[in-house]
Amino acid sequence: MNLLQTRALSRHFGGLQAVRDVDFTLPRGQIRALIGPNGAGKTTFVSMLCGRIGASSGQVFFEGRDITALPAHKRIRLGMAYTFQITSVFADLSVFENVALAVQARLERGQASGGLTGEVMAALERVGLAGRAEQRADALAYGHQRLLEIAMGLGQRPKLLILDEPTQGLSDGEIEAFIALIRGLAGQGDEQTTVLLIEHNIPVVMALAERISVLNFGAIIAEGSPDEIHANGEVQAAYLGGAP
Amino acid sequence: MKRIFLLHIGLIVLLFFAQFVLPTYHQGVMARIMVMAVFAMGYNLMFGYTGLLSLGHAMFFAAGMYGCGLAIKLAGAGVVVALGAGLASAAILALVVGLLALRTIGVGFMIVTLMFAQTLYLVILYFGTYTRGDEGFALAADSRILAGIDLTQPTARYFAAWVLFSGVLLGILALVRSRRGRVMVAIRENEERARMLGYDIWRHKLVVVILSGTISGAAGATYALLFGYVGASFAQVPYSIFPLLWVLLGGPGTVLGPFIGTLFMFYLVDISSGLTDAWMLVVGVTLVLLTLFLPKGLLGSLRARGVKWLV
Repeated sequence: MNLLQTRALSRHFGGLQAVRDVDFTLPRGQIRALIGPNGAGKTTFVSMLCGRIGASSGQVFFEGRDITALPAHKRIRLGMAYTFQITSVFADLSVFENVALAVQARLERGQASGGLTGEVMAALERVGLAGRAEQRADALAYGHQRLLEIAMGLGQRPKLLILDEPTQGLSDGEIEAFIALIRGLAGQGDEQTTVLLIEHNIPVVMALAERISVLNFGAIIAEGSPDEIHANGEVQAAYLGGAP
Repeated sequence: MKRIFLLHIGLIVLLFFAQFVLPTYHQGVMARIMVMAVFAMGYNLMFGYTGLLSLGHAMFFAAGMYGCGLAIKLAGAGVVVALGAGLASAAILALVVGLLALRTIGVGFMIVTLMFAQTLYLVILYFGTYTRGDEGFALAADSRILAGIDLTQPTARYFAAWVLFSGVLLGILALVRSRRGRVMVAIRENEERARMLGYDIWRHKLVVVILSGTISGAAGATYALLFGYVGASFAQVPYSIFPLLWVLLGGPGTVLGPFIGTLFMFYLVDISSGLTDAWMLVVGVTLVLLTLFLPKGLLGSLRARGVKWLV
């Protein structure tokens, strides 16, 4: 069953057509990568999925329900999470409180399981930040702030986790751990998470993605398994600028 | 986490016993400071904790004051009913202003709140038949008796101010340490991120505006009862700037900051004006120096320099 679907989703900024007529489907439980050159419209596209920006035309469906008109916070409550491309944590709050804000939003809706503290520490444990729980977020190194973003995403326990360039600024060791973490998320039985990953780091994409969608000039130009995309001439052209 | 409670309870106990040692003059000043600190604490919820800079908080103070004062003057209400009328006036005004002003952000929000406050001031003047306009009106001493306690007496007045101050202080301490308080700070720090965690930012802000306006209104209503005067000067621009000033001095986003700032400012004016005619110069220079060297206010700077447990 499809968790997420878009129909002719478009967005223009003045005369610039950032995303045009994208029909996109994402089955439940899949890890999907969204790749494409800079300025291809990737962030604009996922921002329309989670409601950060509105669509100019077209529709978004989540679990079969038309959510095009829902404001962002209501979409998040349905089970989406979005981690920001440009690190966007609460600078003045501790690492613990950053994740607590992610967890308590869900607890308030009655989707409780463990206590707040337990869930926060579990999320921090998974990204390796448990030892820094009491530090202020702005005192963290850049890579650790990226991991904190991911921990906040985990704390939300989303059905759909949208990661916008999560490995930017991470060390090789942290990237290894990140790959293992995301695989674990998608594999969990009952609480299986569907992952939509915007990523420039092609080895990470190849290691994680079950399928890849390629966006160029606001349109999806190819979709397939990592091997198919690897062999696709049009994709090569889009990245390298050569004739197809 | 216990020391944070010890600190606040300690201050409340200290203020309680202060009334037995303070000379009458200072007892009166402290009563006024405690009431005004409540005004500033209400302001701090919006400005210090949620990042909403209002330039019109005089309207909430005035709404509380006139709601209470007019209930006594026109309807002959008792103290409890009058207090209730004051709180209700401020709460309803805050709801309406919140619904409209929260459509704007940043500078727009400052201007809209300023305009609403000016509007209320003009409304007070317009209905001069009832409000006696600029002149204001005094509340008769026999209407200011609460359960047999004469609120015109210095000791009773101090005690009433202390009760209000303590209640609001502890209430705000509990609020800012709660999950809702954490969301308020999250909105201040990064509104977009908070929204993308699933919080209804607009609703959270509206609740804060209502709480803030009602608390500031409680200060206005109490002021009318304790000091017996209701006047339009309290609805004017200076009374929108004072709470901002007190909060900035004491430390925005700290529970005790508004009290410290109010205390400091009252006594700075009190002492310097006793020493020299050029007291405004003394006050001005002191404020400039404080802003330069302690930009986060007295308590905010203390917290930034290691007293991290201050909330």
